[in-house]
Amino acid sequence: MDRRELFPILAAASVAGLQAQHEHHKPALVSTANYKLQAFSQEQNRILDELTDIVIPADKDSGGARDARVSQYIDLVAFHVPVVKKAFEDGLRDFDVLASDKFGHPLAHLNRAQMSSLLETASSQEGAPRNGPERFFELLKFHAVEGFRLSYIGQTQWMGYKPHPEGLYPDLTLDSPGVGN
Amino acid sequence: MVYDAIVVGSGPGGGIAAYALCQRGLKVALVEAGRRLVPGKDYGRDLPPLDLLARRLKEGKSGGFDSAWDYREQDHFTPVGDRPAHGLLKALGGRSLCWAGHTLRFGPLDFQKWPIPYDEVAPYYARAERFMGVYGYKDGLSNLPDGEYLAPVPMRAGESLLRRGVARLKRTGRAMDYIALRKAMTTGKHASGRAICQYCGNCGGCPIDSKYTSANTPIPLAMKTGNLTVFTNAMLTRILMGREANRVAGIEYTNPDGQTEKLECRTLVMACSAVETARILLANRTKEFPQGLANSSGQVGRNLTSHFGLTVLGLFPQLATRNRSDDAGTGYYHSLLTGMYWDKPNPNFEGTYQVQCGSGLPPQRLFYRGEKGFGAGFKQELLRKNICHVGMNMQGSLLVSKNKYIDLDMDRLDRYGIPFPRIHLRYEDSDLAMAQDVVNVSEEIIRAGGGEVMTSPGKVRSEDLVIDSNHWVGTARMGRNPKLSVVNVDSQTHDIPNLFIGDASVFPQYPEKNPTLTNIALSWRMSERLADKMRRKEI
Repeated sequence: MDRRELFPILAAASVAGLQAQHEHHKPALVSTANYKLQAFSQEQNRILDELTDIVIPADKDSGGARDARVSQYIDLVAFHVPVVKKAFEDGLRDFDVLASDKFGHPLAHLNRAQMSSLLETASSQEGAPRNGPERFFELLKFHAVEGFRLSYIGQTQWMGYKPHPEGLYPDLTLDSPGVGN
Repeated sequence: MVYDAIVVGSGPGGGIAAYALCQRGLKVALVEAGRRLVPGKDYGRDLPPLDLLARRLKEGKSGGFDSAWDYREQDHFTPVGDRPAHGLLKALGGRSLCWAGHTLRFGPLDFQKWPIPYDEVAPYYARAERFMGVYGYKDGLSNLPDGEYLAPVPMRAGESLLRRGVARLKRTGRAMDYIALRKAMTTGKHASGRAICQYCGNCGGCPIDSKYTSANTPIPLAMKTGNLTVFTNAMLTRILMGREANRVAGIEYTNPDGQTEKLECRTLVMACSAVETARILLANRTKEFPQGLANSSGQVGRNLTSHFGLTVLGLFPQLATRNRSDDAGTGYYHSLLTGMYWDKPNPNFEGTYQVQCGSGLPPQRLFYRGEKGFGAGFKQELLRKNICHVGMNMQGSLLVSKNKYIDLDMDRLDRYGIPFPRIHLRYEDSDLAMAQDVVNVSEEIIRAGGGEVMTSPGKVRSEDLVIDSNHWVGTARMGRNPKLSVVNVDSQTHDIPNLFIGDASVFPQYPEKNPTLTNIALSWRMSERLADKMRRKEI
């Protein structure tokens, strides 16, 4: 086959490629500046924010789950996937019971150190969970990692990928610079 | 209108058949059960912005990255036995939209059990490589012949350390090689005009059409001839026979409105995949063919095989400080362990295997997720181990046996009233022995390269094995004896002279190499044979 035979698809393929690239630069915007919770209450979100930030805290190299707004990522997933929402609701209830047993207070009243202690307890059998709190730990950890690695901070600070010259999908990841907070 | 040829299925085999037949001046109808997908729109964004994530979740897809994979059928076969899987994708281009692009020739030794030699297929390999745009190095291996390549893509740092391990083992007399992969992605200017790869790694749904697909290369060219008519959202429901009992007259299909339509043809090319082609043939029974069309031999659906595998992960701590964004690339796998048991079979198992290798921290996925605990230490270790990891993924040829086959599930009909295919899979002792060898060899290579084994199945059990859902072949195998095979050396069915098979169903033996290039080369060859036979009025 020579170039003449292939030439006709040049235009089609190139246009498709350009369109794709163009869309990368000018995507259909969904404003994340004022993300509204859809699956969980403010209090549930605050607890998830604290728990995920304990799982993935900020350090000298990169922000943590809070900076990456991982709890909002979980809210978004839970809103669209009912089974995930139910699993988180069940898990939060199980952690609430554990909190009362261990500290005599509901989960919402615990400080960061106490929440960390709950996670310590719930992670003792990681990989082979036997009860509700242990299952919740695995669920929480999976989504914390997933939300973090897909975030702007996760991609650029933690994984070390360079931001897009025009911003890494500005306004489109929950934690893009200039968004929310 | 009576078409010279109807091609059913627009994947790798069907797409090239449509192109080759149109080039020969035949009037062709290409019938595809799915719709046209637009790269960069329907799939293929190289990072997951929120709107994309929301859309994916709303559509019932997983989070993460956008891929043509998401258009796979979800409930389209009945699994029997050891967890068979089948990756059917109904869309213009079929699974060429989501294939990984690995483009390897079968070698002369592989063709020894075929009724045609390597030299017969080699010119079609060369033509296909030029047409597709394939990158790679020329490695000079005996049974993985070099092709015609664009500029190569090197292996990543971790994989280079695996190569060091292989080199050390080779010095002790072991037969093996370690090479960078060859893929159908444009790394430089190509006659197709497709965009040059940007190494985003989202090859399961290339957003810029750098990867070869039937939809971006052969089908547009075939359209340009003026000889092609494409029917999308057209599900074949019946093959229509002519007045002569052994002659196809056309097909019946269901259009997007749910109405039944007919197309007439002089020849029919089935290119729906090894599972779907067998299913359609088995489901079309006539008085003359009570076991299904072209199945007087009883071989349709038999001789089923695929690739199967497992994964061993290694760790090379010396990579911890490297720039991880260097790990972007053409998908995860950049290299290949090959050259084992080609001319000296392992006494413990039949067949051969290769091991596809990747490493580091490509942006799409964390390949190591097994880190225990939480907190600052967990965060650091998870990152470090992903940066330092290598992944060795077995691709072995599954033993052909009476325990692996496709038949029809008469209790489950699809919405067109066609029985679902049942895929029967049982791993045999030979399969387990092969997998055990992979584990042992992979661990050995990691250690020889200066690394440590991070996760490994250890002693292999059947439950550890994963079938390759996209590599099924063999269900309408090629042969010279009509009692033992379905098609002749021209991929023409023995029973029905104007019925041809243009997909990997016809492979009579399966080596460890990826099937797509051979599928395309054979389908191209079949198309030319078909056109020649029509010209000579032999059909």
